[in-house]
Amino acid sequence: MKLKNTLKNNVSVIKNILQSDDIVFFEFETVDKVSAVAVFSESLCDKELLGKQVVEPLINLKGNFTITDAYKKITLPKVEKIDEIEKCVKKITEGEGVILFDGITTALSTACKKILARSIAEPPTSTVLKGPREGFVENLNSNVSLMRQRLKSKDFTFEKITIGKYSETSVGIMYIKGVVDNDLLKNIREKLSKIKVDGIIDSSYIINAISTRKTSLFKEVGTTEKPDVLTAKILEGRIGILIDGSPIAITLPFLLIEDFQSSEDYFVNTYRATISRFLRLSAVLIAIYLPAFFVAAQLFHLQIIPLAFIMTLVGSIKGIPLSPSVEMFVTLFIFEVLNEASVRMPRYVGIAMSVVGALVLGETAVNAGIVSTPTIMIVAISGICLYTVPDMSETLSVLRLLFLIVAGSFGGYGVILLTAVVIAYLSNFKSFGVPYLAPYSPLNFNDLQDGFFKTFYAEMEKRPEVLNSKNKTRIKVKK
Amino acid sequence: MKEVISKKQFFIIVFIGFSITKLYVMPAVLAGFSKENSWLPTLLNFLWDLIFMLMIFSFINDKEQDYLSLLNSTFGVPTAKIIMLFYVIFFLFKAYVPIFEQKNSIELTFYETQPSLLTFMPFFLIAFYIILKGIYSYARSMEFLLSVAVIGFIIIFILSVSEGNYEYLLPAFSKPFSTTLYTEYNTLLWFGDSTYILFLLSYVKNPSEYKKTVCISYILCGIFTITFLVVFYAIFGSIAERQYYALLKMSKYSLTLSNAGRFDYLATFLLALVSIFQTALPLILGSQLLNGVFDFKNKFVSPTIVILLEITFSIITENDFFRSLNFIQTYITPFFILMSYLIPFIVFISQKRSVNYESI
Repeated sequence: MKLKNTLKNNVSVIKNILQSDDIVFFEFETVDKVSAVAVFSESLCDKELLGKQVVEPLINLKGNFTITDAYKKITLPKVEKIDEIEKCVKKITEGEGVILFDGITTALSTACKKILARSIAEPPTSTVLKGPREGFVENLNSNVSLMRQRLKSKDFTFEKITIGKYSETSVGIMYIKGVVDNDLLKNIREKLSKIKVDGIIDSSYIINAISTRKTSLFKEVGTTEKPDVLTAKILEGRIGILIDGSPIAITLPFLLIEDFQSSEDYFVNTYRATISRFLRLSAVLIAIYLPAFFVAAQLFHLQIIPLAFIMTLVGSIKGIPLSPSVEMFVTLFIFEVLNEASVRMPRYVGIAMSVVGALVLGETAVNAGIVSTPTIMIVAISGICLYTVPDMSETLSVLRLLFLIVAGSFGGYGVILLTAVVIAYLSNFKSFGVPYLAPYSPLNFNDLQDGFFKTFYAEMEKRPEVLNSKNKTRIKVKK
Repeated sequence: MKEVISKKQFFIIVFIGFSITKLYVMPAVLAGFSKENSWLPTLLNFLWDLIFMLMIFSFINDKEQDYLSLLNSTFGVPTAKIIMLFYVIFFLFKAYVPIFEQKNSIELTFYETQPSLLTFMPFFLIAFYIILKGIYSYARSMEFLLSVAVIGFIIIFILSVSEGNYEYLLPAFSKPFSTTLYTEYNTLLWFGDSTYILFLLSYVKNPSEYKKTVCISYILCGIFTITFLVVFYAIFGSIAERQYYALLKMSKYSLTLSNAGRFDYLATFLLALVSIFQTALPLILGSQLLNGVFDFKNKFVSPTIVILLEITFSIITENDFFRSLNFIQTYITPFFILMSYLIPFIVFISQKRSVNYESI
């Protein structure tokens, strides 16, 4: 609907649409008595900025001025002329101040949005000893500026779209022109444009909406809270997605190996990085398989355990009323409950909780003869190992449970069979057309340079081939 | 872009996959017939298959057609369909032996108590899943399992290679050639690898380009298997013929194990994992051929039929594996020769003639 000539009429239409108490209609007059109204959201708009940079200069307008005269008076970098009521309403809800004048059918939208963001800090989930410590915040503009500081090239592109019927959340797609796979970009644009939802609260909503295998245990996209990580991924040819209101950026396509890579691997000695990656891999394998094999060994193949350890084991499991699998299941269950409680409970109870959980419960359960010491030890080791790859912990904890069930039912062979299913499943799994197990399946010798064995950065001349980037070379070192 | 089995995948399937199925029961059977010369019939079998593979490629150089279309053009569609049904039976037999090798090795070595066939039933469920995922998924899985297989083999070799008495292998040519040929005939059921190559080449883009990859990987597979047989006989000597499931038994005498526990089980677990996929290969091919014959609309039908037939075989012969093995060696081997060598030979000769006529 077009704006009318009379101010009263326009204001009443907007009041009718925006029946909300945080919308302020500030009436003022120019020196020559022309009426005007500044409409803004009290909670989103910076009133001081609006007053000083917009209303004050406008009050000094003389005579019968045009909208262009008013436009020129405003000392803000972003001012827009609007002639539709719907656009006015949209700008107001976005936090801008809209100025309506009597006798003029065009309004001015002024960018006076208050920056509501916490300060940039190191994300708690990805702390590093060496390397950048900045993390994303909930404000999209702040996050984009963090990225722009790192990627100043004209080829770095940020595309903004709005998703959510009621939330109207800004979602940004980031990539480097000439590096990104254009087919993938087209696919992502299409997928995002098809999302019809009431609101986007967090990046996980977008992840769910764009994933092709929604019921899969394995994630199809990567996430990061760190701009340096997102920059590195974009430089490799990936696409980044930032969502207003979420400090978690999405990267895609995602490969399984990425969970074993840490940003710190690129800032420390290459040998150390390789050792760390193998440590993470071993920890993941221990986290999944140790409880399962311990149960399988006790139930089906004791000969796998060295004789000296069998004697110790027999001593500690003597008199335990539960079967090995039930004992392990109960201990894991208690561990998961403690884990869940420690995340959600107030911090001041945390220390008491860890004392109760780790010392009182564990010690008492062993003394009471309900569970054995080796079982508690194995659950503890498995629990610690699980968090060496924090992004995978949700998947791993489910897998650990599944492996435990098959180990208790079918022994070691059950574990092997379930492993075969996981491998067959993963070898067929693709993240936006890219094989999930790359560079190991399909085997790609170029991409192995950043696999478990990490080569020196200067030797990583080519971008990962599996990402199908148009520009293959990323480093040219003169030899 | 249409997916194909890559050269790397082909290499791994031939090198790792083809060798692993020959390392359970075959070494003991070979030792039973040829004693210290058991490497010789194996070498001949490998050479025979290699020559056949070269023949396949020499033909493929002329005509870029897959084996199924060649069958159709040679025998006509109705006869070709009957032959394909025979190939389905052939692959069911090919799967039977490794399935039972796996089942028995699991029961005898991994478990304290003897579980029934029911414990092994989940294998068929997993095999069904692998069949359903198809040949490319199998190829990718084998590629992923390369490191797993290598680690498994290295552990077994390191633990066993120093335990052998290599004098057991002398004299090198003690057995008459007739014994070698007889042994070769009786172990043919573990060979006929060229048949797999024939069918697997239907899943590549330019089959003739795979000649070098296939030949090199098959030669490596042969060298590896023969080395394994040599170490096996050097460890067990005259009792080797009673040491079925060689892969699981070779390393158990290592001194390291008496101190550290049976960590060689780790290797056997890893190799058992690879074996599952390799055992599924004939079932995948059988299922796809069955689908080729009847053109089922539902993708579940042919895997279900193949798995049910294999389960039925397994249930019937559950307690008589060695009698079944003997039956296969005696009566089914001619069928293997027919399907693996004779039919492809006829197809290639007739096609070669037609090419010659065309050129005239």
